[in-house]
Amino acid sequence: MAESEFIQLIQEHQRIIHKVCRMYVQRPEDRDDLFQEITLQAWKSYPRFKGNARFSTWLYRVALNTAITYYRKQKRNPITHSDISGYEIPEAPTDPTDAQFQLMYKAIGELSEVDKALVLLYLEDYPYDDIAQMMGITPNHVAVKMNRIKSKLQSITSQMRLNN
Amino acid sequence: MELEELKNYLNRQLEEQSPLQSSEEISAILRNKSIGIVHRIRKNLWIEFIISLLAVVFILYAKYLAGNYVMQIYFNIFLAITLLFLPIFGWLIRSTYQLSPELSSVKTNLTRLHLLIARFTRFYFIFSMAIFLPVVFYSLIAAGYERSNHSLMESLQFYMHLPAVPLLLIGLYILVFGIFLFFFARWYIRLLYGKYLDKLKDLLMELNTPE
Repeated sequence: MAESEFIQLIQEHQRIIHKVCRMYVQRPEDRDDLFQEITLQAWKSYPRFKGNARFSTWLYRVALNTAITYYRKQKRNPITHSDISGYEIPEAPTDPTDAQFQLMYKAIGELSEVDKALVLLYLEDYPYDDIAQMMGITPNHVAVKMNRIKSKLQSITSQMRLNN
Repeated sequence: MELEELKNYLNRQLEEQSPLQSSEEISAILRNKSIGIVHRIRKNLWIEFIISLLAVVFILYAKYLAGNYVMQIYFNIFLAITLLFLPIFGWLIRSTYQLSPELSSVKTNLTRLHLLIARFTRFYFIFSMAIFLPVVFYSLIAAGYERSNHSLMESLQFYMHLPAVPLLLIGLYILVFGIFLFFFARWYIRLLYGKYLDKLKDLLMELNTPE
């Protein structure tokens, strides 16, 4: 019963896990590993889910804690440039918004694990108080960090545009 | 274009670009084993714990079979070290179960994980070094014991009456072996967990940076 209930909840909320995986891991095969790890951690923690918070918030907490501390063994094959920019699509995007997205996505890839978590929660429209609680810092610190991240992203995207 | 302007588009794109898993696929994932670092450490600790338990049985048996006095002391020392480390293994295993990603904030989770790995690596280093001294010391005593007609006092006297050069060579051997073991243990532990510990430390520093 608990298992089928959990599977249904994960199916309904799996976009959260996919989003976290896409944010933290570039290689598709590594993304599958991280997806598995987050799902397993959530399954192990599920008996302690009391329902006080929304399932999506709870899942975000598990997913972020797992992704940030995710340990990847060094691959034998060195990481190539195309691996790093795994965010890119093979063909040049024709839609200007899509091109902007690709650029911003690549820029987010340059951020630290902590900053990526903040961006994810910001994209989800979580209030700064909730983000602060999830991250373990003060709301003021979240605001300061978000301002810094926005400036950093702007500067990275400008640099990328210049390089292209 | 800024992050704010791209927010909705970025959110949608991040969600939509991955294939969705069916309930069968999710169910299959639940049968798999974790590949996370905590699971790895826990597995290693359980292996060490079981090996130590088996070692206790083996040492007790070897002690029972060992006829001479020096070997009895030798096995007693190992027994004491193994018994001392068993509860520490147990304590470390327990702390791996106390990490719960759903309860704590990112900062608390990182702090606990950093503490766990730092303790784990420190403990391994101490364990490696703790075994070194009795091994070397009692190997020498046992060798002397064999040469001095099976008397502990004569065994010690055997080394006291050795000429300077062999004594110096033995001292040099212990020193070189000790230094090698010290640096090797440090290098090996760093190779396994060093980079990861540094990464955790950097993330924690980032979260602790004053506003």
